[in-house]
Amino acid sequence: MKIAIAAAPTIDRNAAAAKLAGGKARIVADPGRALVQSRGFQTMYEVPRDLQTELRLQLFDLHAAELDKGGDVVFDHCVAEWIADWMRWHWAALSTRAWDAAFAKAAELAKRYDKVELLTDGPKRGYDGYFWLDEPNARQVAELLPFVLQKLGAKI
Amino acid sequence: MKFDETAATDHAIAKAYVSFLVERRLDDDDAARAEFCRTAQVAPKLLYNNPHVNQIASIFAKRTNMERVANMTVREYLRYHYYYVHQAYKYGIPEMQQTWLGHHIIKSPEDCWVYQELLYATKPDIVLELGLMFGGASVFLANILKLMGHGEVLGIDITFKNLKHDPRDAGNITYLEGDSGSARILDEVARRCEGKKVFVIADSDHEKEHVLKEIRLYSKFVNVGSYYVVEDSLNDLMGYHPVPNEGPLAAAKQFLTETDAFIPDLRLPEKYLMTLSPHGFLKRVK
Repeated sequence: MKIAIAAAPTIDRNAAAAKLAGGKARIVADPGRALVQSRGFQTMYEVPRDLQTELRLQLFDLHAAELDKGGDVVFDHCVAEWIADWMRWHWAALSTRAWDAAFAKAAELAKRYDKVELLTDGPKRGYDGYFWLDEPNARQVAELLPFVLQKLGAKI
Repeated sequence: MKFDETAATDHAIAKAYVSFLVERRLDDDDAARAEFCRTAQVAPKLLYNNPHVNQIASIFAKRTNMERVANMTVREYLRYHYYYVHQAYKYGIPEMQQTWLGHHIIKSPEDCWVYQELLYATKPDIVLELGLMFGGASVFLANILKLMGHGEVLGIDITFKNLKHDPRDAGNITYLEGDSGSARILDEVARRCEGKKVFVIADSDHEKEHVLKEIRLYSKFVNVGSYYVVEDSLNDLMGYHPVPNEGPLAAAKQFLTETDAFIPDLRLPEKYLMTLSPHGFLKRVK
């Protein structure tokens, strides 16, 4: 089974991921932090516009590589979250056709999940310098998530 | 010398020239240009009229810092200051960090001078510092107060883990560890500040709601004629936040809509122009 967790950025997923993995599936953490820090930045939002587009697309490639590894896996993140965050903060940086291509790529990934666990509530994530814990932003991303998951064709 | 055939010609020549300067450890001057043109078989006019050559020259030239700064925009200078001096400790060049008598201090020289002038003018009994980090600014403020012959620093931070010195060394510093929004800290500050002339410098979490909460809680301690300084409001203007949120400037502006007891002092504190706290020096007028 390939399970992805989708939730607002403020929600801690550790417990949910462990429960879904049941001690058998491997748990994969969001690669965003390492990717952004490898370029010397703290968060995705402060990365310059063009590089940010490149990094956001690289996240898809990293996700695909994890999906290719096979076996049971629980992702503590979901491609739909990346799309929702992209739409909220970086959408205007992409041309219409480039967005279509990015969205199609995301949809390919989302269709490879056996299930998406959509968390609407949970313990609050602790501050770690990467995830943005602003409540109004989290609410807006959470509102986008069901729509994005549906458009991506993910199985909830 | 080989050019990148996929790049535009002017770009390829500029890149090749930069490589030439770096590999030979040369500065950009007429002799270096002549040598490059001879070895790379580039017509000198193509180099001298290259649209990138001025930017190359601004980096690869023996110039004083002032000469280089003269060609920067103010925004470029501020960005330089922020990353190479103000935040140098964070990016691996601690020797570039501003210091006061050896203590790392995360402010700007101009703002420190402004503090010296404002403290002398207002003669506070207590300088209340919200957010300490290394504690270097506390030492600076305490030393100025000591030179004036009056006043002490009361510093508050949620954690002392970043402090680099023992506050007892300065003599006139007291630190309180805890959440500035907690009743415990607030009560202690109220007890210590009762009947005193207080100057507040807020430099803790820079997220708007936190800054606004602190102003609402601590501005009451400021006496008429003194200041509540909302530090690093420049963050809002320069986009320094790692996330796209509002910061100190937005908080200061909102607070000013809630009260007529404070006004933004844009004259004296901003007279040197280069401040990290534009619109952040809030003066109590009643």
